[in-house]
Amino acid sequence: MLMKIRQSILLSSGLLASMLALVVVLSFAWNTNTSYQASPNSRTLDHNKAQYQGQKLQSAIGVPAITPSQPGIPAFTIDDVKHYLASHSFEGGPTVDRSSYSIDTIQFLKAKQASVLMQGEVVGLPDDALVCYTVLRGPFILQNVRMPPGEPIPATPIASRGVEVFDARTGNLLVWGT
Amino acid sequence: MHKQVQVKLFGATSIVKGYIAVIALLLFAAFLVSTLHPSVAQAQTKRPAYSCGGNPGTGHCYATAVWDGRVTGASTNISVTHMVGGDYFALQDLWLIDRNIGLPENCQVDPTFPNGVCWVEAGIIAYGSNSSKYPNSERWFWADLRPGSHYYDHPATGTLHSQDYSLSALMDIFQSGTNQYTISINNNNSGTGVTGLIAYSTGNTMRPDAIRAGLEISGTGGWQVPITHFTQNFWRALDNNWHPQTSEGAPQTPNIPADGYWNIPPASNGSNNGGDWVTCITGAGC
Repeated sequence: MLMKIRQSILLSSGLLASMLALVVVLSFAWNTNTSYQASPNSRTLDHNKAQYQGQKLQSAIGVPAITPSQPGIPAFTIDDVKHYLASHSFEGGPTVDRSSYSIDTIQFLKAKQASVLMQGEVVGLPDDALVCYTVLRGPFILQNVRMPPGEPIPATPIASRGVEVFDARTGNLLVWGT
Repeated sequence: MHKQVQVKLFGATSIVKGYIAVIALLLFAAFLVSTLHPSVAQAQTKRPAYSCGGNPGTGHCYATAVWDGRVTGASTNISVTHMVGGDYFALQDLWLIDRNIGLPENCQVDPTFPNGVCWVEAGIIAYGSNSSKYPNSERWFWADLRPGSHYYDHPATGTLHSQDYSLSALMDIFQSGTNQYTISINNNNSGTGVTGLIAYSTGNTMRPDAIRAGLEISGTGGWQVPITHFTQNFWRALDNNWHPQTSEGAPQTPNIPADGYWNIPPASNGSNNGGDWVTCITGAGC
């Protein structure tokens, strides 16, 4: 009798464990599919809700990059910039031979001056704001340049230099380019 | 005594046999589900490596709507989806382009190609694992390549957050001064943090004659791009009036795995605001 009870308990436990395993597998499959199932439904989105408001927009003021190390502006030193650049490759892409790049220029200057050095490109800050302008020596394979399709431009362009401009107050990367 | 033991053993063996059979059946069912279910099967299948710019000499892959003709602006409304950038990036984008036909405007994305096209673009980008500054994140961004200048990229502050994914983002690029273009991304995300961007491309003498809208991917694999809709496709004429697209534009074959199609073609009378262009990555419900 005791043996039968043991066997029944054993059998019940085994069945329960098996059912749980099956439920886990099924729920995994189901959850994996939800992202795909959501896609067709998105075709019914009410695009009429999206009306241009023209307000509450946020200006582009860069992304966190160099960690401030001192009070005031600039909030970091030339050595901080060198340290950062040594540990972060150029955002446009790697060097052609995949080696590390050298630094041509690191200088603190007004946003307007940096803009002039970039043929008039907007920096994103007021003209008199202090920025850190850097020039990196490649050549770089521009794998991260977003190019328009179907136009007569190199499949993977190469640039001899890279430019990165940081906000001298926050250390944020404001703009990068060639 | 001996007989009783045999009966008990026989009984016990039957129960165990039954138990094993049930377990085997359940495991077999689980095996069938895990192998035959399309999403799981896809996850288990080794994905092929694509040539979408991950290596020198290979161009990016696109699935874009294409319209040619002189304009002063472009607009589209993108349904914001959660993307994964693979090894380089995935991007839902709007380009306003000066194809530089017969006009030596010296747009240099590459010094060895000094007179290429000029453009202003804005979009949602998912940076891949090879991004040195912000790997595996999604941001708004804009960029330009102006006549006489080089390519410059402006990443927006902050990453996209979960609230953004249920919204759509209206993107406008239009001439707002003699040599100035306004870039506006408005995701209607009022009061919840990062809300698109507004910026200006100044000193820009380009004369746009083409619009592209759709998906661009770079790298060899790993992208995840759910179905994304481009609606409210408008162009701005030389008199600065906005008009809906009324045709599918120039034929363009998507570069697989980037894929795109007209879910709703633009109505010839403009009644559906430029139709519904859809982009996605092949295999992900696409």
